[in-house]
Amino acid sequence: MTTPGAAPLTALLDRDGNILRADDALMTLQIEAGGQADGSIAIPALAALVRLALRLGAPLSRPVELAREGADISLWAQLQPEGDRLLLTLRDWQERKPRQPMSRAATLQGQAGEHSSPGWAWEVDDQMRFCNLSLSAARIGHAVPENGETFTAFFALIDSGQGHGVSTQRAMPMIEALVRHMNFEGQLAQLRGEGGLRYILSGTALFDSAGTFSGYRGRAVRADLSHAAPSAPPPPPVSPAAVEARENPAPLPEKSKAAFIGEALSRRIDTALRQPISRIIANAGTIETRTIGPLRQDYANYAGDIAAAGRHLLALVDDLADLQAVEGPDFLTTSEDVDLSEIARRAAGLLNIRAEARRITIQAPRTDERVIAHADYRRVLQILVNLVGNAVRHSPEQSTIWIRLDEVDGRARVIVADQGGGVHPDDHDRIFDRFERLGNTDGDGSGLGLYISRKLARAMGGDVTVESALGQGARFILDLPGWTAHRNQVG
Amino acid sequence: MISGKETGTGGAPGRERNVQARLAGRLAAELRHYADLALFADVQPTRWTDALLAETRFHLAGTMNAIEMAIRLEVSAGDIEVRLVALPQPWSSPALERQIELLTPELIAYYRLRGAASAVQRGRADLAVASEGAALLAESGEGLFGQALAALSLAEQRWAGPMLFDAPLRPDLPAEIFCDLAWTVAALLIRGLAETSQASDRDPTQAVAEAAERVIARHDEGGSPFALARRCARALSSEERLRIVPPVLRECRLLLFCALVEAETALPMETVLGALVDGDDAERHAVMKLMGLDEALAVQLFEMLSPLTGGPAGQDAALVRFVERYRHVDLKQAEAWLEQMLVPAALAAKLSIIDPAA
Repeated sequence: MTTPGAAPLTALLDRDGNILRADDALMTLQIEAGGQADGSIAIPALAALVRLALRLGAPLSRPVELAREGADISLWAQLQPEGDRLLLTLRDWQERKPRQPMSRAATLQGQAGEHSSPGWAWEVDDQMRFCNLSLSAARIGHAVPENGETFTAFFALIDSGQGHGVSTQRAMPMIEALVRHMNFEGQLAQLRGEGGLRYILSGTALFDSAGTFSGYRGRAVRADLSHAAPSAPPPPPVSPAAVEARENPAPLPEKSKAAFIGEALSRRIDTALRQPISRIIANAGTIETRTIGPLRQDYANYAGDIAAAGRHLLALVDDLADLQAVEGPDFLTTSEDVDLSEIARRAAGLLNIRAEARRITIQAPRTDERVIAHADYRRVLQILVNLVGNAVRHSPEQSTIWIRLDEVDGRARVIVADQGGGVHPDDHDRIFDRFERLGNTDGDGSGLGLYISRKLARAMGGDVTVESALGQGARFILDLPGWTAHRNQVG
Repeated sequence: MISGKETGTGGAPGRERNVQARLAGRLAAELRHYADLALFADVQPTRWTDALLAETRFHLAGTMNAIEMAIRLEVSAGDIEVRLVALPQPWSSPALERQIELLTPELIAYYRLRGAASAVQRGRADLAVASEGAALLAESGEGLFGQALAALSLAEQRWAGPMLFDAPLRPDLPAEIFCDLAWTVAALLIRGLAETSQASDRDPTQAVAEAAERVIARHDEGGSPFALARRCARALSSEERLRIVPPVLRECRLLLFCALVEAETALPMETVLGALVDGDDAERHAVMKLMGLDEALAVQLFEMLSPLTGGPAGQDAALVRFVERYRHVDLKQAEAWLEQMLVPAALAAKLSIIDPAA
């Protein structure tokens, strides 16, 4: 049957749902579904709608999906009671080809500029034996598991006592997930051969069409590389010391401990402070907007003040959690060769929508620019998000923020310049103090952002400084070791 | 027959067993229902943020008030009409608060999602959006999409208007929900009339029921923002749908975004909305990844949802943590999640009963 044109298809049904008359295309669907020309509607989705309309005694207007060989059909169905009869109208006929998840995924990936996922993919059956593998030793850098080999013969699962990511409370996320047939991530594992390389495993539970568990499909990411930025451009030649550092990564316990303290504190803060404060903000906001009833203007204003103070407190709580980690005795940053241009564009992209809302333009570095620094990718991103976010907050509407790159004497720099009110020279050091907001009392910001940014920069062998004068905008400069300086140092 | 025999021979013991069995069944059903109501009554503050609870309550009361007005106008029996005038208006929404067990779990679930969409809509009203829908129209042209978008914008504006508990709100509801609510209102009105009746007054049940039937028969579920959002999405090709995702999110149009996801993945938009509001980060990431959202748009959606999810928004470190996690989400995982979600609901329900962890 060909696809009908734009004209709607109609059928008239009696009060029991039997067809009195129907357009040809609709009748064809009815026959295909095994129904009779004068019998009750046999097309399952439409039959369900007819039953519902008869039960409720109400008109219906909603989309329906009809399964046909080759393609599903999506239609807009209307059922209108007319006396003792029911008028069925189908319009907006659209054919939907059966989904082909992976090909579609590839299309979307291309459109989204998606980065390739780190690590390598694995799959096991319900007996936890490797299957459907297409790996090569050259690609993953060591021997590959054989199809049919048991998972635990290849990997030794490690009871980390503290996983990573979502399942942070679970010591053995994979085992616990396996019992429940659920997904997992953050399972630490060690190769049984190959010098005991450590991996972080994540997996998605697979089920067959009957809903029966059929194994896992997941990824294995080297524990020492799991923080690396997969989208970073190919780094410049790396020193033998850096190779050594990657092959024999720094002992995990130190970093894990720092991360653990930060995450544990964050969790406690979340339950003890963030949730109650969020409730205060929400309630005050409800009162302020008079959502649940009229209220005198001055009381509504008080509620607005409470909400603003609450938001300030919430920002402070989050920054304090970060500060706790930054000021911890064992706080460490990782070091790798990172492209400041790419991180700057990423920070600009993240804040672009916020800037657009105030008609502020962010000029990020061009894609062909490249300045390599030796630093921690995630921490550099955090600093730039802070600097660009501050610039968006303090810039006038319809102004411009520039992000520029520079290399001087083996140092790599990012400069964030705005057209805001500027900073008095007497305050250039003070703005990096804890809780310093230079008289800004609008409740926006905790006064810890720049302090944390400078701490982070200094932990990476760099600094954050400002050049500005009142009324002339501000230039915040993130200075970091360049890769050439780093190479000379380690070489 | 067995019970008849028992009644005949044993009499009271047989009846007592039947009564006990009925009571036990009823008690179990009521316990289950009260557990659902407990959720609605804010026992779990993390699931019901106050913004969400306020919106949900407002929509429930507002649509009930409107249905009550319609039923009152439809009552044609003069004496009942007079007695209804004497009944305070609105009657049913305050009365429901005294008898909250009348709310079915399906009704609560629907209003929760509606409240979530509305809360985001209200947040959007604070944004400096240059012109309503202009970016969307510029992206996709006018025609069917433009008409549906205009209707959707009007419907959304009603939701974002000033909210008073006693004010009516257009009952732009799906037919099942509308029927459920209309019969609830009718029942409350009948009970209200009974409370104030004289001995000589006739039973108002038939007159109110007939009025409710007429109101139900006139209802058009096609005018609800959910349906209109679906119409918008259906009016576009797949390429157009993916192209308008950025302006849709920049304009904080959560319903339209969910409808676009439905059109692209076949996952019902109510399910998509549920995953975004009630799901964990993994589910939200899966939806974002399936729609090919880049990091900036993912952050936009993350911050848009924070009043509903209680997630942190606007903090540098939280934002970086979010994008780092999102960056490592595998599209295959998102596809696998989608496949699981597309399992028939009845099968999923059975599996969840057999194995609570499934």
